[in-house]
Amino acid sequence: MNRLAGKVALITSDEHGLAAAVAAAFGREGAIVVIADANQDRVQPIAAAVRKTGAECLALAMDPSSPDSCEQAVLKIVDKYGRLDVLCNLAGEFPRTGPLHEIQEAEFDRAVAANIKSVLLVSRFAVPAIRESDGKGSIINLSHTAALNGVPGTSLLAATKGALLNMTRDMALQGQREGFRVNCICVGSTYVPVVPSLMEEHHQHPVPARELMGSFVYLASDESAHVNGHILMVDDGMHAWRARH
Amino acid sequence: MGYLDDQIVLITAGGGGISRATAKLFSREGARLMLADINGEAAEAAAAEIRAGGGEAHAAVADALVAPDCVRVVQETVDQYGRLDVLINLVGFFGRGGGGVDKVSLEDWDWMMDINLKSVFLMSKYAIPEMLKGGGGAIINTGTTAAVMGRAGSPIYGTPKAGVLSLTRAMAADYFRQGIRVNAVCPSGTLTTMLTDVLRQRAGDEEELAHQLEMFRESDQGLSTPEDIAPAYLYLASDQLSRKVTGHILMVDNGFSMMRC
Repeated sequence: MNRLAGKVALITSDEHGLAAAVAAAFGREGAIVVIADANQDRVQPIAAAVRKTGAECLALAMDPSSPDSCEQAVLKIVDKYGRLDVLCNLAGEFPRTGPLHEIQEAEFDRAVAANIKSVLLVSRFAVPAIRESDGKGSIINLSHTAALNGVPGTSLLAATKGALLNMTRDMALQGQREGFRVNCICVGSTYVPVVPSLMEEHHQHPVPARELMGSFVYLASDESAHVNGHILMVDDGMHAWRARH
Repeated sequence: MGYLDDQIVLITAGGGGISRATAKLFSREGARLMLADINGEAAEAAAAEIRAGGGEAHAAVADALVAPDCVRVVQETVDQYGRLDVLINLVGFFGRGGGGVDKVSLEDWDWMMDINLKSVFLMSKYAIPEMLKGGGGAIINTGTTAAVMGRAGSPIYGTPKAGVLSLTRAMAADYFRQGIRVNAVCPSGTLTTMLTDVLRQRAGDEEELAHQLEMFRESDQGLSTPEDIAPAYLYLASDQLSRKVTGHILMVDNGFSMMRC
């Protein structure tokens, strides 16, 4: 408890239930939580559930594809709470497709906007707020094992979620100079199954989001103050060995 | 409720800086400890420190390069506590064999491979059967930044440590279905007696040592304290915190290894 006491955390929401679990976990650890989505109605129930546990949680409308919307949201947070410490970029998607040469332009543009540009636009306003809060800021991006290892049917996921791996390192370099850290968590098939047969090969089964929360809290908290630019694999070892021999 | 409640943890190099900080943190989270070191006095002092803080710890003397010692220390742990849940491999040394491969002595090569890599093999070899009896467990090995990137002046430290990382992944694959998670922590420069001893030898006097430590601190690599590293071992040791993490190399190095030039 209280591993995040005194910290204000902004979480951009997703449709896989991860953001809801992170909001609850951060709230349990004493953070003030802001959970944001383009559609505020989607995050109101999440915020209400977190508040029921006694934590402070605000639902905010923020469209990660709109610079104005991101700017307004961060301003609201700083206005209300005086600071921003943690940013958890969970908005995005895990597209499954055929081979790269068959992907349509519209699909490609959509995935780039959802996965890469969203991080760019939210960070544009969150990073200065974190820096000016003069604390031990921590930014957590979200990727997938399939962005690291070749997995059939995941070219678009690899291209977009893979870009985040390098963006994480670049942001981390900046953070090193300016007093905050940026890391990336890769979930694997146990949470977002991209190829169900892979789960079988690796002898895995789907897990509820709460089983992954230790990793998010570790990276958000000061306990990981010396961890920067790191790609943290929370994927039951999928990245570390091949299932088929 | 602690993150390691009632977990039986064996820490090697138990008298060393990172081990002591890890032991203290683990004890606060409910772990019951066996601290093994080749230096019996150091192990006993570390255990006494834990007990003085209200925790449970015993000391064992063992040379991690002597197989019967490794067998014995695992047995002593099981005799004391009934089982073994977590092994923290912290035996290692960085201070031999700088200056290029052509200058490395045959003796230094063998010794550095043994102390950094074979120690991990031997301790794990005898700990694993006990963990399997208990239905699972966790092993955390220790790497270093020189294990993931070339470092001038460090040909025979990074090399066996890179072996440790590869062994980590192989062990994770082998024991995944039996519930043993195997991961590694890679610190960068950590302020321990080992570091100051080696730097002092190179420096010649205390003033030069202080200067070298300051340069270390100011460098891109930075200088961590054992207390900065210990939480990484806790995160990886606790099922509550990292149940889905195995075969992973956790860099706790201020981003040093992901930068270049």
